[in-house]
Amino acid sequence: MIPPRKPRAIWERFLALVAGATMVMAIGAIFLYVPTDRVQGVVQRIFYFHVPLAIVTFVAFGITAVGSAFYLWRNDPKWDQRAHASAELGVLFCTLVLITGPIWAKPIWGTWWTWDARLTTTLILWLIYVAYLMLRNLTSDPEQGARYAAILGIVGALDIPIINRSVYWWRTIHPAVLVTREGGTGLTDPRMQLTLLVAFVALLLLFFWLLKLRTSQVQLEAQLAETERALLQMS
Amino acid sequence: MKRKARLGFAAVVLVGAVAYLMYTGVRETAVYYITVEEFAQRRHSLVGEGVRIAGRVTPGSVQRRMSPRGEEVWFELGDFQDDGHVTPVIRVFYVGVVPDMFRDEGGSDVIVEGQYDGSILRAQTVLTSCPSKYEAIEPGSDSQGTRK
Repeated sequence: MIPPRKPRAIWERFLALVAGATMVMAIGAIFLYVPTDRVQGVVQRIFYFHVPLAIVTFVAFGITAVGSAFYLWRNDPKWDQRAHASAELGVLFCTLVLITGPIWAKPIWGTWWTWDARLTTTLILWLIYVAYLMLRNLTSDPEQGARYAAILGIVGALDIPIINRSVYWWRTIHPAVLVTREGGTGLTDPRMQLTLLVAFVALLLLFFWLLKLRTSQVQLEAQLAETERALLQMS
Repeated sequence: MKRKARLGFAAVVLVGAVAYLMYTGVRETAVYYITVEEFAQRRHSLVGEGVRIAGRVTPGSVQRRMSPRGEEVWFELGDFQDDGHVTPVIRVFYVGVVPDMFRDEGGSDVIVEGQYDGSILRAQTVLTSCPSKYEAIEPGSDSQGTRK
């Protein structure tokens, strides 16, 4: 059965509008409003993209893990579709973290990459969810692929708390700024805190809007495949 | 049943692989660097070994000289404590481009990778680590870094 095409919900347009407006505010705050860091100079402004991107990555893979768990439990493909869409976006955001990081590291640390605990565990997270996306297509039975992927989607999320704690558990070159190792925040200026908050909200709203779009696409693809199968059986 | 068993097997393999990846990744990096003090205690067993040492550049110790091979940089590396107690110092020799954040005055925090030859540390890489606190630049001051 093909359900009739639903008009795009009003809240979805509203979400897109708010996400876009917040993004403009975030970019304005990052480039015009927030004061330059005394030690690192202008390049420190990457922080306001880099850190929110990382947090949204964790949200995305968290949704994948929860969706995967519900899929294995309820066996409802809707949950798998949500997990799948969120994993794709998570890989996108994680890739951006792994791009903004080296751009910042090169002028400040003097290297694009080094194998410290936070960088290594973040790269592992990226690899896990790239594997998740590949695993889905490796089996001839798509349902089986979805179940295997769901297991990886749950297990892979265990890396998220490890990444979060890595800068406290091990010696790293990567700093802990939001909550420093001594406690308290490293953002001494309220304008820096506000800018980080706006950038985080903007990227989070962008993520949820993209997630909504991608989830409906994945659902439509599944309906299309089902319709094709039904037609083939008829002919 | 067979299906369940296969699924279970795949789960075990996946969990195992991920755990192994995490374990090896973390083991390699768990001791990402040693401190100057730890180095001083094991200095004799570390001759000829590759080491990665974190410390602070002793202010005023940096000497730079251009050579055909590139810039030669000599400096002394001490521990982070600035509570006045004297810590051991390592003489470091490095040829190449040091990061912009590497400063003589004030003492940069650095992570040096190289080989200890018994008396000096011949560095292959000098990384500068940044403070975990951000402060607004004072309007009109020129204490900002070399980046504009």
